[in-house]
Amino acid sequence: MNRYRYGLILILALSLYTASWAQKQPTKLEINYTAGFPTGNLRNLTDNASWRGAEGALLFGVTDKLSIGLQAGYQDFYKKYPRQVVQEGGSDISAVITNSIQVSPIQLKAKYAFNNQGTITPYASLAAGANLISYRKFYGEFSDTKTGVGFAAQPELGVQIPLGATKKYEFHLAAGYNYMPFKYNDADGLSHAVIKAGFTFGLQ
Amino acid sequence: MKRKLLWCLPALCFFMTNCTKEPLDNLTEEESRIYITNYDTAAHFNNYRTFSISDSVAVIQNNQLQGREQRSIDVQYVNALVAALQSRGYTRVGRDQNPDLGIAISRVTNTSSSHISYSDYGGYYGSYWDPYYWDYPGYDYYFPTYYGVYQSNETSLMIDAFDLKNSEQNNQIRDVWSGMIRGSGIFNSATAESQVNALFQQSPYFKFQ
Repeated sequence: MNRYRYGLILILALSLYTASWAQKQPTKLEINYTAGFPTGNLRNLTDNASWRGAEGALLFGVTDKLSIGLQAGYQDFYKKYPRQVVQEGGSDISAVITNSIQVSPIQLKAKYAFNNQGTITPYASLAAGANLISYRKFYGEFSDTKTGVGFAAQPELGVQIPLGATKKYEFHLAAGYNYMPFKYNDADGLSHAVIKAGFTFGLQ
Repeated sequence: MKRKLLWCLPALCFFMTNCTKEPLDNLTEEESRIYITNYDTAAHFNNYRTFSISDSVAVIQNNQLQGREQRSIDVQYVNALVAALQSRGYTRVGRDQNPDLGIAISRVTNTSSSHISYSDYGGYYGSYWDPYYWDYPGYDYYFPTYYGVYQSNETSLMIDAFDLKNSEQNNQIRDVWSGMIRGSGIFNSATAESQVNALFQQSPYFKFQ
């Protein structure tokens, strides 16, 4: 087992050493507007699309195609249901129920551009890390609140379009999926699809 | 580079704090209210025919009876309750005419952030509504396992229906139905009737055929 582990470390070290000779991508700052679309069990809490989201990432070039860095985001989900009678702890409760969920993933991100020559560059990325979660279920004006830290992973596919002669700025458009496990009361997963659009700023 | 990053951080913070759709900002007064009812599953509401109700409301603050009041809003609640019970087939009688049910209204205010639990509420009930009032001196109140679900530091309205008809069987005045109204604008005279009706609409079992 140890032999495989040492082998893997050696391959990674060689890859990084080789990569260091290649031309690196410049350090970039990404700012995105994001829209979230509930999937799976999140749809039991809200089936409303969320148009309130943002994301930022700081990426450092490793090779001419690969960059890694840190990404932070925010998405707000909301749904107000008409008055209904529910059973809770043996009581009949008539209430307007509102679900309010905020997720703020903070992740390590690796991004790979499939080419860096053309006008439109397709790319794929994978991010994984922690997720700061705020879950609130309101019965009328009274809330049941739970905050916590969970796991989040985000695979993403997109395209980036260089802007201007210097190509220091890029516009990009992407679609991804936020995998976000979370269990509390009637919540069993906060995963959702995400569409994002934004700009990349070269910092070097 | 550092300047660009410093510019982005407050922008991100501003976005996060201002782009949350706050539920409390999107509720009307009516939507803010909740109506909670409990009932004794062993009770047969069809077996009661008459009820008696006090003209005044008990004012309870932090489990202490402050007195009884008869403001215009209290009278409106009493009248709304009488109308709701009469529409369900019950007959109002005086408390000296052996009513089957005793109806009591209490205004409960907790100024601290504590739990309104039925065990607390019921444990002091004898001091709010002395069994002597129902002509059963020396009796105890009995509350089945009801749950007070929410924490509170504001005023709620409690309505209780007591089984006086069968109280002599075990010397207990049994609470067979309880309704609680919480939220904003409870003591608005324009909505007293609709609030009482909301409690009864979710209690279809509470009627005399």
